Amino acid sequence: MAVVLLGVSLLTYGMIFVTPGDPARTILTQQMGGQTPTPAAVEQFRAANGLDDPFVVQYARWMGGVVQGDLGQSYYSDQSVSAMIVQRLPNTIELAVASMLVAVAIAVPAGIVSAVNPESRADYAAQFGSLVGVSMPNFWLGFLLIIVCSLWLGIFPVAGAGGVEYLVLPALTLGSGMAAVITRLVRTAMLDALDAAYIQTAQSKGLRERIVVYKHALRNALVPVVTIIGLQLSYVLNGAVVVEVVFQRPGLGTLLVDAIFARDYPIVQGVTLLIGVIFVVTNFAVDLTYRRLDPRIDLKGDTA
Amino acid sequence: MRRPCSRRQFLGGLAVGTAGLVAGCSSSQTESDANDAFTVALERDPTREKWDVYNGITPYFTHVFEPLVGVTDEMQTEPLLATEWEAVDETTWEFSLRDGVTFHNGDPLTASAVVDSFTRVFEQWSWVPGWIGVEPDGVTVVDEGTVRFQTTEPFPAFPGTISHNYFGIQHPDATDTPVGTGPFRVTNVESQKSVTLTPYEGYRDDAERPSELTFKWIEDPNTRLLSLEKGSIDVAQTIPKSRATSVDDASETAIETQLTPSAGLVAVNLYKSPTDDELLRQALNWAVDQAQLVKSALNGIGKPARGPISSVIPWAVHDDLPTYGPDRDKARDLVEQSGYDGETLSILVNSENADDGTVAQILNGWFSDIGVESKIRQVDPASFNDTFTAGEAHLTLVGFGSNSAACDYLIRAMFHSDGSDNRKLHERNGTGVYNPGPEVDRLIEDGYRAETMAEKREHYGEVQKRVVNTGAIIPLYYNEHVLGRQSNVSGIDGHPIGKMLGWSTLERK
Repeated sequence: MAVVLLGVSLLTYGMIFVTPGDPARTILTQQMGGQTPTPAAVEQFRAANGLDDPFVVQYARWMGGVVQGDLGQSYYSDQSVSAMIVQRLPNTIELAVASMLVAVAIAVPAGIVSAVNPESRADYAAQFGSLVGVSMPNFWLGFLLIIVCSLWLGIFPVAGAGGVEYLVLPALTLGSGMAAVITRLVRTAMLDALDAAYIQTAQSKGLRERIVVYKHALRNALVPVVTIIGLQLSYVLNGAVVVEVVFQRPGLGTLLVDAIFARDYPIVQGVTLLIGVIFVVTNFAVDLTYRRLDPRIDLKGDTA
Repeated sequence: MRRPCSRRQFLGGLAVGTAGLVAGCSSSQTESDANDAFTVALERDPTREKWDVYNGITPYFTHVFEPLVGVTDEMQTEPLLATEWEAVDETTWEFSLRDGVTFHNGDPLTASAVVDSFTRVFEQWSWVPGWIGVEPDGVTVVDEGTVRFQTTEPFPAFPGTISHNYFGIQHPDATDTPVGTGPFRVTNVESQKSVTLTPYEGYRDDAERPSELTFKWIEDPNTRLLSLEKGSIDVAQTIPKSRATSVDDASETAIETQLTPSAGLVAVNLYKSPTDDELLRQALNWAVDQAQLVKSALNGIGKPARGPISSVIPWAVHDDLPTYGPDRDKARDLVEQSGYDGETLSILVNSENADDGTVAQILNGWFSDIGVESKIRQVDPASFNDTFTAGEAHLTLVGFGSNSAACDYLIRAMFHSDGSDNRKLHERNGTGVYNPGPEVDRLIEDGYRAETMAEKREHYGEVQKRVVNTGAIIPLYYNEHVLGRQSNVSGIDGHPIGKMLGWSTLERK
């Protein structure tokens, strides 16, 4: 895990370093409300933040801090990067969990109905819905939902963060895209499972169809689905960038994007590192779930 | 084993819960009831953590803090917390403070409070001395009503420079809540969301003010517009020009526009072939129809430019500058006379500015019309400046403005060899991007040192004429900012600097 995170941090630091763009000038321009900073001010900013040092020195300095649990300070502010992350993390987690729930709540039933009744109207409807869901950009769906649910129906507020009412539209926006991917996967996995010999056995011994589908087929179909749901976390974090802007929810996505555009290296590094950790942990959690779903899978590597 | 709840019960519960949630949400939407309470949506977070020095709110827009020097609608300095100032010698300025000014906590404004306020700014931002030309120990108390500033070198534009909102004066003991001297005081700050203000009763005039003013952060322009349409905000800052007509046409909403100190122009690379050819540069100028450009790319919002400096700036010589055309036949003739041999010109555009993308496409069409091929290259905002000042493009769409009364830096940044746009290349190989050379450098230095506006106008005016005549730039437009408001809301006090708009006279019909 440490090696993966070291690689991630070195890569991002290296990539952002070779990208043209001077944090000093960009940040000063923003601070001054769009006015061009004087060359003397730019030089002083660079000196104060050690931006004139070579790449290796800057990276080593940052890494030295991280090892001691210090993610550094934003170039803008007195606040530490960790404090800024902690401030915004709850909003993003809330959005991620809610959209995952939306996705699973839509995708699993739709996928099952689709697989149990292949080539029926329900199947075509589910497949068409998935196609639309996959193809529709997040920001567009977001605005569409605001116009319909907020302006026309007046059910939800346009934007903001706070109570549950502020979470519904962003979660639907982000969750529906994911639901589309997962529906298709549940359908395929279920079709494979329903074709298996043990299903015919279960059916021939007279089990009720519902038991066959939910207890025998679904459980076996869930392994690839859980993997993808785990991997979809990347989709949530990507999507959060857009959804957070559209619905004005301050979170990690907006923090990262603002930092990239401003070349605020410490924040970019801090958030990337956190995302790296989340990925590694999620993948590990997914591996653990396999064992629960399918006891035949042995994490020690022995064959069952 | 008996299941704790049947599926039917579960689904039933879910349905009831959802219905309850929707009902709850519908009823939880409250808007401010007071008729004289207003909400203004800003595109930048007014509570950004970057403003620790002001205890968590930006000094822009809110009028919680006031600088010593104000800015008039004509972009000139005017007394604000200081009633007068004078240059005691070439590098020393003394400012006399206004009598009877109190901070929001009732304490009087004193010279030592002003010094403390500047000290905090210096402590927070190491680069401020390089901006205002004053070292951290250069601000001192003369007496309780007078503050002295020692500049590192002669700096005639100093009073204008500290009219920037960055130098709003705050109370020395304000550690948790922002305490300034402005017409509004802070009553609530919701981090990353909003700042709520109420009128400061002890303000030096007795004018009526809105009972509550909330500045709310809504970053996305479309979301700002939808919030305006929904009625959850009263004023939306920075409406995309392309949407302005529909906002104005709607019965519930309207727009307001105001000319700003910012100008949009094409910086032509004087040191890169083939734009090092003056005939080609003039040809490009003859091809451009500024009025048409404002109409098609900016939805008619903006003023067609003749020079590089917005006509709102007092030393701009817009009216005295020649206009090129448009005359595409003449442009074609000039292209033929020039040494242009069909090379594709690059047009560099900052991807952050949607208007620039459209402008570049229109220019691309016009240049093609006169036989000059060009290709648009969009780069992200942070890379833009590096790419531009490295002289990589032939043509670059740039736009500069000012947030203070000191606009001298604009002409220096653009056309002086040591200015921020040309400095990198000038130091490296004696060239630059669009700095015409030593004579213009000298004129800029003379204008900078000028003691009267007439003298300044003469020197800076000559620079403007030269860069237009030699085609070092292609003037495009003087920018207007656009605000959206509810139709029944009026009284926004316009200002060329968008961050200085006044809210004291806001009212609802």
